[in-house]
Amino acid sequence: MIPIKTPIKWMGTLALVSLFLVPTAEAQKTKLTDPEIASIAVTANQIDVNYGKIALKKSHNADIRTFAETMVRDHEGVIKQAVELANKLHVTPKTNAMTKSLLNGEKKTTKMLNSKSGKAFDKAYAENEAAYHDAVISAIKTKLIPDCHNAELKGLLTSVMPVLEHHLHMAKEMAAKFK
Amino acid sequence: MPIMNKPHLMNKTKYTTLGLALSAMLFSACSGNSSQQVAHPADTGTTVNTQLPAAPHTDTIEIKGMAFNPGELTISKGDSIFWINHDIVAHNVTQFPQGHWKSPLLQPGDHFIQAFDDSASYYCSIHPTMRGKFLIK
Repeated sequence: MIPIKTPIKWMGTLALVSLFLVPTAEAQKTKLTDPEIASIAVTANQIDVNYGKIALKKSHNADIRTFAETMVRDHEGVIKQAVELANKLHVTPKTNAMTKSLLNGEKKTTKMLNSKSGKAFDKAYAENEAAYHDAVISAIKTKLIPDCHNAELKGLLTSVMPVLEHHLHMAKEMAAKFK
Repeated sequence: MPIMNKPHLMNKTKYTTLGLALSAMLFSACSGNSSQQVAHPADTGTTVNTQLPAAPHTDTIEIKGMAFNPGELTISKGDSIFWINHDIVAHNVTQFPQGHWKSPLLQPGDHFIQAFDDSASYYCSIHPTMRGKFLIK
């Protein structure tokens, strides 16, 4: 991972996002199935597409808009590949506790983002993107990849990691501009 | 500066990609020698050595794991570079820093080939930390 110190400013956001993504000790013991992993992967990507679309609707900041366009393009691309692989493997994504937790987090974050405008929105979006990518990377590393059975699905999760780490690097740089 | 004004973006099918990649490799292999030995049909077993100028060569750069591989390359004047996107997301290849030349958006599986007369640095303008360069020897 690209080493950038986590700014204290968005540590609160990170803690909030982690509540929806980092598995509890109980969940850590329960192994996820491949259909559940497929559901989590698609949902996590779709949520960031949705955040990007909110930013494109609300922000006038060129850096934020460029970043949001990249998020929408990249995460839609990952979803496409994940769906193609799931179809090929005859894996039907299965909703599970982690998917529901992600969607619950999305609702709260969407409400928070929609309540802000101008510079306050840009700052909140950038900080949430940094925190969200950090939490997703952690969940994939510590839970999704270790629990995954199918080699191709594991390969897809592994190949997503450099993309997410790049996004995290970009998001941290952007968040730092709004300190 | 590129010597081909119109970059060639081929279609997205893997078969075409594979075909062009193989063609590029074959072309590259055939053009690797500057000296050829030619046998004349009417000859009685004698051969004639002819020295030909080095034909343009094509090198391949793979885009994978959010990086250009290899990140640095040395080529001869007039040689081509063939970039192929084996990553999970779309990228482009853009001259750095002025953007004098730029590939179209390369979706996973797409490729871009261009010939060059001058050294250049380049990057992916979508993911700006992805950088590479090539030098003319």
